[in-house]
Amino acid sequence: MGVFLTLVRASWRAQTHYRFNFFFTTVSSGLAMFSDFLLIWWLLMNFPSLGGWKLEEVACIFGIVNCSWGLFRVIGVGLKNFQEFMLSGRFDVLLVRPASTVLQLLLHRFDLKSLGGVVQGLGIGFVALTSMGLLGQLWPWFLLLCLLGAIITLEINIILAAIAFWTIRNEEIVVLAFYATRTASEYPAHIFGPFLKNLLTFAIPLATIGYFPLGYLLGKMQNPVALLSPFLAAGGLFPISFVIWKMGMHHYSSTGT
Amino acid sequence: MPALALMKTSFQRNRVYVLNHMLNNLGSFLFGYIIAMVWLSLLGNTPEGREMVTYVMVNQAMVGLVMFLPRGCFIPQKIREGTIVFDLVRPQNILSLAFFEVSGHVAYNFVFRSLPIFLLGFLVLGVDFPRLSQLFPFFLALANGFVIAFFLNYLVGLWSMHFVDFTGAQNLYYFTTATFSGYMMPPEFFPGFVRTLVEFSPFGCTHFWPSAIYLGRVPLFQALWIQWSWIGILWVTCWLLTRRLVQRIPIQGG
Repeated sequence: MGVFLTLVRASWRAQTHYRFNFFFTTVSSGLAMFSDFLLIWWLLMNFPSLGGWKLEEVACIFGIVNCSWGLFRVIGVGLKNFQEFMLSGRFDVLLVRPASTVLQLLLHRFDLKSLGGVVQGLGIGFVALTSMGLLGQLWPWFLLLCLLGAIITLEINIILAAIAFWTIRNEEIVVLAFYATRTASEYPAHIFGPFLKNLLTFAIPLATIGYFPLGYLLGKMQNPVALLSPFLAAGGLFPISFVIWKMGMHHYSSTGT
Repeated sequence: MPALALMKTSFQRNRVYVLNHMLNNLGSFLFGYIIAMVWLSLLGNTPEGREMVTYVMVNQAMVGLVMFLPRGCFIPQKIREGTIVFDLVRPQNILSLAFFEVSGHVAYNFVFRSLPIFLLGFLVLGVDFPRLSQLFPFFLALANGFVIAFFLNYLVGLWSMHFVDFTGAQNLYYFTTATFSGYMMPPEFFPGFVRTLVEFSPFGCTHFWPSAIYLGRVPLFQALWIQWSWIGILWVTCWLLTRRLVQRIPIQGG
């Protein structure tokens, strides 16, 4: 914990050295993420609902998915840009240290500017819950789902980063398998038809972050498995991501100079 | 012609990664598919719903031409590596060099990104082709949209000349373009003053006007006067700022 706090302090000092730049980047990063919600908001103002979900309900899904994404980004910079470690050969350095490579990647740098996204996700979710009159009842669930969502996002990104052990470059695979599906998980999954819905449920289980548990909590689904789905996804992905990362490490041969 | 040579080099540099880009096209198509499904859910499989699917997929095919241009038109990367010095000693100015380099990149994107995404949209979602008479107006409006997107990205590059770190400016560019370009929906779905912003800002010139012409919703001249006005304003702004900032470029790398 001492090392963790020291590294957070070091990241804070490094990133706030140019204060105007830090402030401007944090605000603009939050705005860039907010543009997705603004468009959903303005669009749904023209219609009574999207696939039976009202604006406030879609906003709740959006809040959870984006808060989870923001939490992951704070610690996940190393995994997000793992391709750079492969291309430059910097992964060799991690291998000679007496600590887990995943842990080193997570402690590599704390992107404190992503906290803007966390605050924004929380803000949108809490405003949406308040307007439905459910804040007092559902806020602990909301926070728990954000945390579980961050764990699921982390596990999926470990698997996607591990692909780089075989392919060196994984950026395009991440765009296809994560960024596009993450965008889809901001909406009620049933509007995409069975193929994409099943993909978001079983293969890349991002629909379990917001859509399924909220569906149960808001009375749209009756099966309690919907509420348990983020626990099942996080628990199921843990051994899978662990094994794939280990397999990738065995396959690793150094690149770069 | 040094300008054409620069375009050709930029085009060929991208061809090395053509397989990566094909994979990226699938991801890009999926983004368009998601928004198209949102529209079909809202409007149903009606003529209006089908029109919105075409609108969205045409915009998705265009993102590599009018939204996701090289960050800061390659300027931040050159400043970080120090290779900006080679551009400074060339007889052409940085603005025109950047324009032709980005043009080569965009010509590549048109062939290897836009066309495959459009084709996927046609095969999977049944995107409509434009009427033959709309083709020339569409490509003219699209070319204007590219020039405006170039100037907006060039302003991000100019930001990096002054502040070195351009992340904030890049985020701001992404926010304004994604929100006010009409990429996801046409202006009639935006509230009050935002509708005007989409129609008359440089952002709407990049996505809304070309795709509205593609659908035959608006006459060409209406798009042209707005697009050409912005091209004039942005050209003068970029030219003046370049003259001022080029005196104080921080040279790094080595």
